[in-house]
Amino acid sequence: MKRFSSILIVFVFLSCGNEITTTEELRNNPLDAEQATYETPALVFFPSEFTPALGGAFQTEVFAMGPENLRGANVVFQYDQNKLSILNVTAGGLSAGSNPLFFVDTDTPGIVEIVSVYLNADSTSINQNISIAQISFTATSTGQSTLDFQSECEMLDPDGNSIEIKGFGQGVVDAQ
Amino acid sequence: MMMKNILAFFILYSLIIGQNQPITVAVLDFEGQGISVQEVKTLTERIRSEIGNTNAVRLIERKAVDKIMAEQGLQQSGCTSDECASEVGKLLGVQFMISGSIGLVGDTYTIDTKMFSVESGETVRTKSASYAGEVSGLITEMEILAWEIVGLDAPGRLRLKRSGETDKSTVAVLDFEGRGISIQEAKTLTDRFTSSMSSTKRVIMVERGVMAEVLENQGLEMGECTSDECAAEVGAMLGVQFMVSGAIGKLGDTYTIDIKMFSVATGAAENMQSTSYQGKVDGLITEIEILGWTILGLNTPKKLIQKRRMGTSAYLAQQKEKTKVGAALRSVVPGLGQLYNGDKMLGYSFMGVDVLLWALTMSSQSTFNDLQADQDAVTALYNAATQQTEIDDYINQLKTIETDLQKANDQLVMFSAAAIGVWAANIVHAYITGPSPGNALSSGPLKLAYDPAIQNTSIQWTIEF
Repeated sequence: MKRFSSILIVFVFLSCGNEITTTEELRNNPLDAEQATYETPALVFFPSEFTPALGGAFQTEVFAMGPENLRGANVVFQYDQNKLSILNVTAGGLSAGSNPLFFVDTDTPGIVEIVSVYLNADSTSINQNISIAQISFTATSTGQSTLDFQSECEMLDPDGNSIEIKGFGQGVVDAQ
Repeated sequence: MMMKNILAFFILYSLIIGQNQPITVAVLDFEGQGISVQEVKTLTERIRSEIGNTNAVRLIERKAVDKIMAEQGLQQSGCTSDECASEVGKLLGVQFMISGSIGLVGDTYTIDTKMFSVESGETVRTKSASYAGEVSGLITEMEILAWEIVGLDAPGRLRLKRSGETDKSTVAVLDFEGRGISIQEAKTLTDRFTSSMSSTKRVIMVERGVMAEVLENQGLEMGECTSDECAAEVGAMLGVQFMVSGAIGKLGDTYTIDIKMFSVATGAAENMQSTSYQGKVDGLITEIEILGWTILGLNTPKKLIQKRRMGTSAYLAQQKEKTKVGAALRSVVPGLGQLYNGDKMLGYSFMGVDVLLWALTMSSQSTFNDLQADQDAVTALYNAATQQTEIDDYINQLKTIETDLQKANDQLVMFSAAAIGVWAANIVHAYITGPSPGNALSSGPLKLAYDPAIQNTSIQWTIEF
C-alpha cells in the first residue's frame, strides 16, 4: 500500500497542474469596503497604486467612500513635489450637477486643495461612493513617493455640519 | 458344366448375401420415470432413426410394432417385461429387441438400453448413459447410444456435438507422398502442414501419432496409405469429417506441391491446392504453411506472406533481433512496444487509453485557460468598479470562477497523472513481457485424437509450460 501511494505521489508530482490566483489575492480595489484597512466614511485615491515611467503621466481620482448625507467636501492632500508634478485637476461626480461649485488651489508646492459642493436642486445629498476630483500627474523623477490626505480635509452635510472622516486611503507612486 | 458353374455361382452368392444380411431389430418404446410420455416417445423415435442411420441392422418400423401390439391388445408402453418383449419380437420375426428406460434422479437423467435375443432371451448388450442438463440434451445422448447398442462407436460428429464443438470440422492429414525428396523431409513438411492447419483454429486436427496407430492396426505404414479409398477408410475409423492427402515432388530445381482435402462421408473433393516453388528445400516450409490456410479457403496471414517475401532465414533473423529493451524503447509512444512484441490487442489498448487520457488532460487545460481568461476579465471589471454593490457582484463572480478553476485543475492533475501512469505501465509491461516468439504457427491446445486404448476418438487438452 505504501509503495502504491509512493508511486501515486510521483505521478501526481509529475502531472501537469496550474497555479490558481485566489479571489483574495486579486482584490485590490481601494473602494472595496471588505478589503480596505480603513473605516468609512473615508477619502481614498482610486486607483491607489501607480508605476509610471519617468516623464510619464498617470491619473487618479479622489473618492469619498461610504459617505452618508454628503453635500460638499474640502480635500487637501500632499505629494512629493520633487518626484511628481500636477498636470491638471478636474471636477468629479460630486460637482457634475447643473450648478457646479468646484475650486482648486495648487499654488502651494506639494499641496493640492480642492473644494467641491453638490448643488443640484433635485437632490440634496449623496449617500454612495462619489468622485470629488480627477488629478493628473507627471513623474518627474524615479523612486517611490506617496499621496497623503491632510488633516484639514472635511466632508459637509446639507446643513453645513462636518461629517467625521474615519479613514484616509494613501496613494503610492513608484516611478520607474 | 456351364449350368453347374452358374448354379455354384448362385449358391455362393446367396451364401455371401446371407452372411452379410444385417440382423433384424425392433425397438420398443422406452419406459419413462420422472419424464413425460411424449418426451420418452420423442427420444425413442430419435434412437430408432439413429439406429437406422448406422446401417448395421435392419430396423423394423414402429408402425409394424404398433400393429402387432394392437393385435395382441397391448400398448407399447405396457409391454415392459422381457417376456412380453420376446413375445412381440417373435410375432414380428426379428432376431433382436431393444428396450430401455429413461429416468430422472435429481438433476441427472439416466438412460439404460438393452438388446436381447428374441430366440434365446439372452441379453446381448447393455449400454447406459447419464446426463445432467436440459432434457433436449438427451437427444445427443440417445443418438450416441443408438450406435453403441448395436456395437459400434459413435461417430466423431456426435462426440463433438456432445462436447459442444459443433462448429469446427475434424480433419486428419495423411503423410504426403515424397517424389524426389526424402521420406523424412516429406514427414516434416506434413507435420508443418498439420500445425499450420491447426493454427487456423478453424479445424480440429488428428495427431500424427494417432493416425499412425490406426494405420498400424490396419497393417499399414503411414506412407503406404496413399489411395483415396484407404484414406476414406482411415478417416471413417478416426471419425473425422475430412481427410487431407498430398504429394510433394521435385522436378529439376522446382518443387511441386499438390494437396487435396476430401469428405470422408461422400468422398467428394472439398478443395485442391497446387503450388510450385524454386529454391532451398527449407523454403518449402513457408509454402506448406501457406497451403495450411488456403486449403481451408482462408486468407494467408500477413506474417506468412512476409516470411515468403523475405525468405525463411531473413525472417527468422528479424524475429530474433527483437529484444525487451527494443520493446521498452518503442513504448515511449504508448502501445508501440506491445505491437513490437506482437500483442496487438494490448498495444492498441495502451495507445487508445493513453490518447484518451491525454485528450481529457488537454480538454481540462483548455477549460482552465478559458476560466482564467474569464477571471482576468472579471478582475478588470472589479478593479474599475466604484460602487460597493458592483464590487460585491464581481467578487461573487470571481469566487465562482475560482471554484471552477480548482475543479478544472484537479481534473487536469488527475488525468495527466493517469496518462503518465499508463504511459509508465506501458513501458514496464512492454519490457517485462518482451517480444513473443511468434505463436501464429503453433497448434491450438485442443486436439481430437483417436485413443487406441479405449478404441475411441477423444478430445485432448494440452497445456505447454
